[in-house]
Amino acid sequence: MIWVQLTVVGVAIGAIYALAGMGLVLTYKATGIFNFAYGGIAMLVAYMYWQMRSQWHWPLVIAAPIALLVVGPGIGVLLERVVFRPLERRGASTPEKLVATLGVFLLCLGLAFKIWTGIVRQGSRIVSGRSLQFGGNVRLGFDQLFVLVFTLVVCVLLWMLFSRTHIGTEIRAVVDRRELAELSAIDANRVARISWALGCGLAGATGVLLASGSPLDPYHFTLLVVEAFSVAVVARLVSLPVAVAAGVLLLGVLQSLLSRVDFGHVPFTGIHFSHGWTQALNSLKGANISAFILVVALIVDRRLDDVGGGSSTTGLVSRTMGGRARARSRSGWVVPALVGAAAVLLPFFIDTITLPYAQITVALAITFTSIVCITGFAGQITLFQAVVAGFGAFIAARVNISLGVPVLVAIPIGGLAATLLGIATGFPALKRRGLFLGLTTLAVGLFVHSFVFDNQIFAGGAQGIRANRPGLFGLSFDSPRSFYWFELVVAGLMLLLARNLRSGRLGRVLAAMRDSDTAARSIGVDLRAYKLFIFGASSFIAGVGGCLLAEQARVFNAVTGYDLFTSLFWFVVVIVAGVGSIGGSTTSSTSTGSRSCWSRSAPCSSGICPARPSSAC
Amino acid sequence: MPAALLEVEDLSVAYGRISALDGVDLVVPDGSVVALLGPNGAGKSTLLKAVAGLVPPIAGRVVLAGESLEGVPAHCRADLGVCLIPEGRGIFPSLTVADNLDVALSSHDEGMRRVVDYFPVLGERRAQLAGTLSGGEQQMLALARAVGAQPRLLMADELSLGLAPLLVRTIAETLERVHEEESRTILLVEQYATLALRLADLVYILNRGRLVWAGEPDELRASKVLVESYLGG
Repeated sequence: MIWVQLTVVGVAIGAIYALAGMGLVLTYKATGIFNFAYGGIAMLVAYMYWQMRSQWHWPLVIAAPIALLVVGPGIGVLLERVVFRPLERRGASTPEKLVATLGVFLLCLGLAFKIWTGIVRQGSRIVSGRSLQFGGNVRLGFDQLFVLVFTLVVCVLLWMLFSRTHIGTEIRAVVDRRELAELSAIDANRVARISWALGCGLAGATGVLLASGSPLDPYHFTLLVVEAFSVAVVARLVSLPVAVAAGVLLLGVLQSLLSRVDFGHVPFTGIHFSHGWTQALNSLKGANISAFILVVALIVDRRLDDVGGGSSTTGLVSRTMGGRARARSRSGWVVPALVGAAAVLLPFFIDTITLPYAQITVALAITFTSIVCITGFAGQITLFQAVVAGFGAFIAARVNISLGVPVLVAIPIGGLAATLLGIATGFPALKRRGLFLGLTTLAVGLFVHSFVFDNQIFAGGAQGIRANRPGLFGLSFDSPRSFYWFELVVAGLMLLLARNLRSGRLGRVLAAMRDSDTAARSIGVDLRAYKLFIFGASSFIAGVGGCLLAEQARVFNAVTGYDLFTSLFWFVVVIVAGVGSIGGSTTSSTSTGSRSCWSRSAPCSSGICPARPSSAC
Repeated sequence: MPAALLEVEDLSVAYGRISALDGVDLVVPDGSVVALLGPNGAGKSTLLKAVAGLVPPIAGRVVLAGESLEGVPAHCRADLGVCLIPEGRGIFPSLTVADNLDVALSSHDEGMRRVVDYFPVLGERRAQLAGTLSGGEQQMLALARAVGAQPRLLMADELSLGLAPLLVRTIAETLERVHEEESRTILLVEQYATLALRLADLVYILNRGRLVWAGEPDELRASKVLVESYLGG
């Protein structure tokens, strides 16, 4: 009977995932944009509902309609007017829109932290916490019943909207060809406004239902959007019925049933293993199964190759790359030389409290350079660079602590491990373009984070793994200044590597690949080899940067960084600063480092800032 | 001479610093077929887009049946009866043929009857995705959408582009039929000068954003210099 109860609970939880997935599919169908800000919007509406119910003590009949019908759709209307309409008007590419949604996501997160802080709140219930009792001790909560009915109604309404109404056809027409829709007497702005209001309204509903009676905090709550991602990807971003089935069966029921499975126990035999690996497997059950589903769906479903469009990173990158370095005049070296000299002399002008921020800045410059290499030079969207950096740091720390390998050797080993991860990700991503390439990297990042970093056996849990600083021939780089200068040397080497990636024939091939896959193939470029190469090379740089970040903090701790938020944040920061040149990586790292320094805050837990300087520097 | 349905007065359009149209004056009489000819980059498509409201002019104005269209957005112009079949394939590839027509038709039953009458093949393919039609069928669908919308002014930009000669002839015959049976006013931009001259009552030639000649098709055919200079012999 326990399995029946687990299935019932799974269906109820899965219904919320289905609702979240449907909202994401709806937004994509209705706007042509994969809304990375979906979780952020859901979280904002959930907070608004909590504010009205728990803080202002408004009655349910007022608070719920305001949250669901005013706040959520209102956010959608605002976003359409301020962000997405201008992008549509100037014919922005898919990656540009993707970055815009990432920006909105970070804005939501920042707003939530600013207004409600990171304290975990208890979400306000939308229906009573009582439950219905069926035969054989099977229970179904009123709130679960409400979610089921609500999801069913939304599903039917959306199906009718798209297949039975004229506005549904208009919405699809506007997504397909906005200009032609306008020529067909359709007010594209009105349709887009309705679409965004619907999409964000559904995000709000998801948020309120997810938070009903559950803990509510910006960071973990927004992570729940991963479930929505996996449901939407299984549904290929188009099929609402598949989204419902995936949410309910794959996520809800499977995860619920899995919670009772014991990997150390062989069924019907009474044999029980107590080996560490079975414990590890059992601990994985609690990990995010949606990350696993997301990875499998993205790797297995080849039909996704046809969806997602917009392979080129047009708009994100200036078209002046490839072989440009050859034409650089001597005066072109003046600025880098001056910046380098200033960086070397910096420790003489700042105090020991500020120096850690400078150390972080240098390490970040390296990891940001890896994003410039893969996105700026080769046009491949990567949303897992923080995880790659973390993987390098994790392996380096592990081989140093467990095997006694010197840190100076462990760093390149960490870089090579990151390279392998990059190549392993690049392989399934070979045929992916634009949005789905980004999602594939994101999925791998989530997978590694969920199943490696979050696992106490591998990554040491909340304490993390000690990350020692290097030494050479009895010379230690442990002191703040010496470690900073050591970082500068490594950064110089990595920047040199990056510079070589973009110059000469290699640079021109990568630029050709970035601008057009087809054009590059037609001139005889083996895209597979070059894509794998650039994934590997950029991951090596990220891995080395990650090692330095961990050594700066003296600990590899995945809880305070190297996650989804950090990856997205890094990507947006580098894009904004200029992903087309190596200068963009140094500019973005300097701005990030100095912002942390000025605020003197502990920004790490928010995911808004990538790393917190270690106090023991 | 019938009254003017469309008047373009001193119209100038620029893309950034590059001027695409420079002080163009043009009149399309009600119920006539007007051809707009000229070499590549002359500004023909830009003129149609400016009339349809897709690109804003930097000077001049567009007048439809005596009413200025200044500040009127594209979808409202379509409501007023200005219909443009844009260059390329003027269809929604992800929608079915039926949905494509549904989006365009002003009066559904009447429009659909008319469309099936003109293009029987589209009636058979109602459930097919428009993007999976052949090039010729896609162009027929684009024309069908325009015909079904019953516009006051039908503008077609390079309808024959990339089509086999047989299909070009079919499309020309359909346009002729639409004009004769329904007295629609048509403004054509066409590379096939012979096709345009066969249909047109009035011809304008644009070159580098300026109007260089206006007259009747017979006058144009008679002028060897004009034909050689602007229509490639």
